[in-house]
Amino acid sequence: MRGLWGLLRILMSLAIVVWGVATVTFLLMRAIPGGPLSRDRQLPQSVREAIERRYHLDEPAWKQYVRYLGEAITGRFGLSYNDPGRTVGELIGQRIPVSAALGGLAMGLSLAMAFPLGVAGALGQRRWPDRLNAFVAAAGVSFPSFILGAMLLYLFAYRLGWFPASGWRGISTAFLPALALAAMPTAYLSRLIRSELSEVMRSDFLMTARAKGLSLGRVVVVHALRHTLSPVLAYLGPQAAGIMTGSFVVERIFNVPGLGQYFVTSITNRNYPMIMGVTLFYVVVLVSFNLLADAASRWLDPRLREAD
Amino acid sequence: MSARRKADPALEGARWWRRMRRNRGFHVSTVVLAGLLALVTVGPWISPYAEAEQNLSNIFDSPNRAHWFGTDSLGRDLLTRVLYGGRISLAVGFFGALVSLLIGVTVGGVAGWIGGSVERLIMRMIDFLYGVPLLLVVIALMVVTKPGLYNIFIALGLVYWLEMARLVRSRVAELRSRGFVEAARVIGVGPTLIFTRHVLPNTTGIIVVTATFMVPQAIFAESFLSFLGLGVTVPHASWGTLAADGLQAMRSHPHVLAFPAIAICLTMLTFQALGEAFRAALDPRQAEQD
Repeated sequence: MRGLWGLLRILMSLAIVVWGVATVTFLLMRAIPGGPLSRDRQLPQSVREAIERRYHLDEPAWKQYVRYLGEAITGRFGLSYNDPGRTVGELIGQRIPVSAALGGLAMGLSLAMAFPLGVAGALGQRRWPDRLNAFVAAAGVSFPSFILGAMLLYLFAYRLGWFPASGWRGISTAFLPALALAAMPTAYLSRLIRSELSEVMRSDFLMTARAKGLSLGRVVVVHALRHTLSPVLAYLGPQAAGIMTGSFVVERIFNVPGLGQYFVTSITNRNYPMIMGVTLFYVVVLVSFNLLADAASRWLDPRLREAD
Repeated sequence: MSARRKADPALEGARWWRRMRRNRGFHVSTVVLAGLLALVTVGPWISPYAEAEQNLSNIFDSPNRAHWFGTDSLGRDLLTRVLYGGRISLAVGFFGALVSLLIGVTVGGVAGWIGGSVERLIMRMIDFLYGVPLLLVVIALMVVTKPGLYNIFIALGLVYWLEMARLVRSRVAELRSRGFVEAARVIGVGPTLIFTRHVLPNTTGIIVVTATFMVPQAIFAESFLSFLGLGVTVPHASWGTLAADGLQAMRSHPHVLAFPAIAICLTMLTFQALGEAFRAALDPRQAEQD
């Protein structure tokens, strides 16, 4: 993977994945019975026909597919059926900042918690820091995000009143939902960092570092921790994509106007352009984050670069 | 000699079992799991209330002597609902994991055993499917097939087999090149028989571990579907449905959410612990490092 040629190849494979997912989603979407108008049974025939013509629903499916792909390539994702006169691109674009802020905060929180926990677990094996690590890991995987979210909401908003109960007014309201989203990645990452670190700590070069008199803190921070970064990044890539594009349940509990709800409502409403729009957006984010994580671990780990 | 010993599934199994019995997590989680199963099986028969029996003069009753878990928004006994819901949630967990196990083992086994371009094609497909937002597919399947218990099993199984297929594939591919498989081939055992007799038994460990972790995932996914209103339909309820209902009334009547939530968390925790115990016994070296 060198220079321009490598970059081109990456972009090509990205385009193929996005096209493939678009095609599968299109087929899947049309396989669901019912249509965008099936809820309004009372519509007069002429009105129905006019609407179908306007949104090109009267054309055969393959023609709609070709039309969609052609428009999507030029960056037009069609009009949303449920929000008259507004394009899918505009609606998604409006919500990206909210989801990105919430997701970013959640990722930041989980990294800020996972690294100390992981290090403590690796260094204090079979003592209380390790127990704490194991406890957080067990708690994180056994509380589904909506239960954790509800618990946080009840305790900190309703009972203690430290945070507003719902709505979205910037970063202060983002804390509780971000914490609910961060639980699962924190649990996984703290275990991952712990096991990676404890393996690295036993390796010869770190023995040498300790033997020549470097302090434990310096050995961990400067020499050992960087070895945990590759697996952390590999996990973080897909996870970040999921969190950044919003979580329906957490958004609903905390009343956050993020992207997550479009994933669900667009399907139940048969809002075809919106289904396509959010799916493609998700795939692009996912693939980009994976590429970024891959590039970052290559940059961090010379061995991976040489393997090419 | 050592290679042959390692390849003998019966011996491996015996050693694995011996390590399991020394694991405290295994004991605790099996006891809790047995208790849960017994409760949801027997509980509904003992309970003096019916699953959907309403008592509108007694709604949102706090836990008391007549209703140990209190009552819900329609005055139904919450303990009875949680016990019935447990039947559904646990069934979803087991059968969802079973369906995904069958698909995953088949696809992964075929890919790993045949190898070559078939393997590459299947693995490419799996990589690609990882890119499709899976919950979207589940929701689409649920909308197509109408909510119902069997459809939930199938929808979840159809979607969550990817991890299993990947793990089984890599294990089978690793076994394929091992000496005992070569030896079986040399003495004239057919490929199908080698696969079923010698390769598949050696993947049991990884299958059991992955399937154990899949059970809580399926329960979680079902509770998410119920939250969206695509899960189990009235008058029945799973723990997910109960929690979703409880969420509405949480502010003034937290107990309606608390009990189903505790049930879900306890079950997830138990299966996690059980899965960890299986994994530790399967690979003691790795577990010691951890």
